[in-house]
Amino acid sequence: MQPITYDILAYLSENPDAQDSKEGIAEWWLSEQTVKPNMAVVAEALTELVDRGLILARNGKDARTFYKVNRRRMKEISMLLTQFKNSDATND
Amino acid sequence: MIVVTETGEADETFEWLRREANDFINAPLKAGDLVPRVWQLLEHLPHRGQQTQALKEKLGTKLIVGSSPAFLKEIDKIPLLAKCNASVLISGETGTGKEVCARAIHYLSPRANKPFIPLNCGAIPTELVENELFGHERGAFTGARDSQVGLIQEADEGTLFLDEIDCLPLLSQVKLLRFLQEREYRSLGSTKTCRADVRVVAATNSDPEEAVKTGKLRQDLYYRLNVIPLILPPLRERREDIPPLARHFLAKYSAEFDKQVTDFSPEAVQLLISYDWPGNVRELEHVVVRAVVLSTQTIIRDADISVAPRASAALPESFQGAKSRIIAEFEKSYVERVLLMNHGNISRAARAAQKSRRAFWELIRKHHIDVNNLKLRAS
Repeated sequence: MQPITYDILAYLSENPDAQDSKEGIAEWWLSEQTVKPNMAVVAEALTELVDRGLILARNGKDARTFYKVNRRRMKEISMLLTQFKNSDATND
Repeated sequence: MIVVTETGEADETFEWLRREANDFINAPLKAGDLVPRVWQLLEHLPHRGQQTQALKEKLGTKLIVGSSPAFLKEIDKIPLLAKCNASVLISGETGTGKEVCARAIHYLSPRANKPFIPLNCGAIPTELVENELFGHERGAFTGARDSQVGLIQEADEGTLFLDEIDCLPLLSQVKLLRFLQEREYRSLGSTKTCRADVRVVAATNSDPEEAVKTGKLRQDLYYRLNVIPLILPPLRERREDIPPLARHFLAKYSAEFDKQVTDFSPEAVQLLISYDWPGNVRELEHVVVRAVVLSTQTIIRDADISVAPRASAALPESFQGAKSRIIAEFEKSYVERVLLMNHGNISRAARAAQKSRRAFWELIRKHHIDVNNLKLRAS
């Protein structure tokens, strides 16, 4: 899992009611440790998470998309986050 | 401390918030005003100093670059605005950072872990706006096979940001006003009244008072939204911020595109400062991106900066030309306003303007004024 994907899932795990467009996610959800990526990288990470069904996307009529967690997959998200943290600790 | 104010004046409100009041309510108190505010207060008691610091850290790359007093005076309000639940109306030309400020208000507030839902009211076809905001029931209209939640419900407990609020159709403005007053609404095709706890932050890039005068924005909605105004100055009114902003974008995009571009030549800086930037910070960013991408050297020269030359510097408008232009603008604006006030009735408008009907009609034709459109707006 890429750090940015981890950041997004970690944020949603702690804030399951959060929802925003990619601009807000890039600016406010990513941890201070993550080097601020460009919008294309953020968009890629969000698309991957939507394709995996871990987050939901809503397309607004003004051509903007909002993202929020898929509450049915919270358990899986929690497991993925734990796995990432453990593998990160192993690599240190 | 929660303050109950009688006057609702923005200056008085700010003064209380500066004196460490945590929130405010305009009198008269209504049932349901106090308890949610006390609850929020108990859950979150942010300190202003920490908030300002957090805001500067988060926004520094986009807005707090530079030291223009005009801009910092407005930015300084954001931690205060974040503390309370009141509606905010952000004014400013396109590209001045209205959405960035709206997000800052949300993410520094007790609603930070709830949804932030932005909507550009000017980017949606008129007939779809109401559905987008309030949602619909199954079968509400042809093609409505399933019910759909509107953005107001999506933003429940969070913040709804309505950009270009003056582009909202007048009927939707009425429904929005009711929602702001009662916290209740009905989705299309439903008889059930729904409730939602949403903070509304609105924005406009036109003069809101002018929008009220021309009938684009309802006066009662304007007063309801404009509890606390935030007015972002255009870039040309804070020219001292242009060099640091440009250097910030230069560093950002040099890294992103892996280019070895390190600075601007003095002539390039002068050109950047002298340009009026009608597109403001967003336009400056695009110009710098273009210069970085096309640059083959480490220093960006004035020839690499693609901005339109200032016409006023090369060819100043003649006195007669300026006078004619200003008179034409006045005539058109005056005739439109009088027609709106008289619901599009040309005879009544002519009498109000103390002109003959024929002379008034000539002005309508001269300025290509669409009377039918004004009648619709006035109704």
